[in-house]
Amino acid sequence: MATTEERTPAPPLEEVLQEYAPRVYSLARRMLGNEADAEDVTQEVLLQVVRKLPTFRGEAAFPTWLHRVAVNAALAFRRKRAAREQHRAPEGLLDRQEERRASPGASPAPPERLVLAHERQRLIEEAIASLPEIYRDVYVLADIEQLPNAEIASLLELGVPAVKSRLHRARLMMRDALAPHFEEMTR
Amino acid sequence: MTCGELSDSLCDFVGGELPPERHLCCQQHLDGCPPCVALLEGYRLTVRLGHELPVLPVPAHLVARLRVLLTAQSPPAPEPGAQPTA
Repeated sequence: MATTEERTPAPPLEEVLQEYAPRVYSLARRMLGNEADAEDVTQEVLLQVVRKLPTFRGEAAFPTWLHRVAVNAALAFRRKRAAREQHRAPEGLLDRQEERRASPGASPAPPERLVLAHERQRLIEEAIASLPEIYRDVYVLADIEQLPNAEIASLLELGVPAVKSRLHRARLMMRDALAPHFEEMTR
Repeated sequence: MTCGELSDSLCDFVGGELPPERHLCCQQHLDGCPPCVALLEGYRLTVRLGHELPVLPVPAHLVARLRVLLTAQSPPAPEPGAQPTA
């Protein structure tokens, strides 16, 4: 029988907000392509994190569990959303980053390098949002979250060959979308 | 190997998952096919750009909402040996 001392203690609130919230929000935002939906999924997942993390007795399984909960929540949310809408245009993904940078005392004019990095990220995020969902899911999990194909297959209930096939198609679509900007992206 | 076969093998080629003889076939094709070299370079760059994407910051209003909700959420005492489920 496990004792209280053997369990991973509940994380401080600030750790949940700073460490886990951005990971979950990013995954949901990129999979769902919609800010409001990503916020709802993030809230749902973090409430589960706070409830269930104390039951962990080791940290090794937690990232896997967190990914699974977040992916499942995003997929479930999408299924519900599919009943009420067909498509939404991508929103301004980077607006929040701009808000954060605009803190008092921040440099008023970012260097050119930062402007280029910001523009590069905007282009990539738009290309991701334009992917069909079945390809976007695999691309986000494989190339951004960098999960192993076997884990992606388990999360999405696919075979590994299907994951590879979709990932290949997704990369080719991303390449086609980004190719006109490759030169500026490699500066 | 044709250009189409090379393209079909790119995912495994860049992932280092091809059998040695298949990898060699791809490499030999690439040695004589500049368009496929360009395809490979673009493919690799696309993979790298995805890897380098940063985590997105959580909107400030969501952080504030989460802070209230999570503060109010008191985790129940876990059952001995209980395992979380997805």
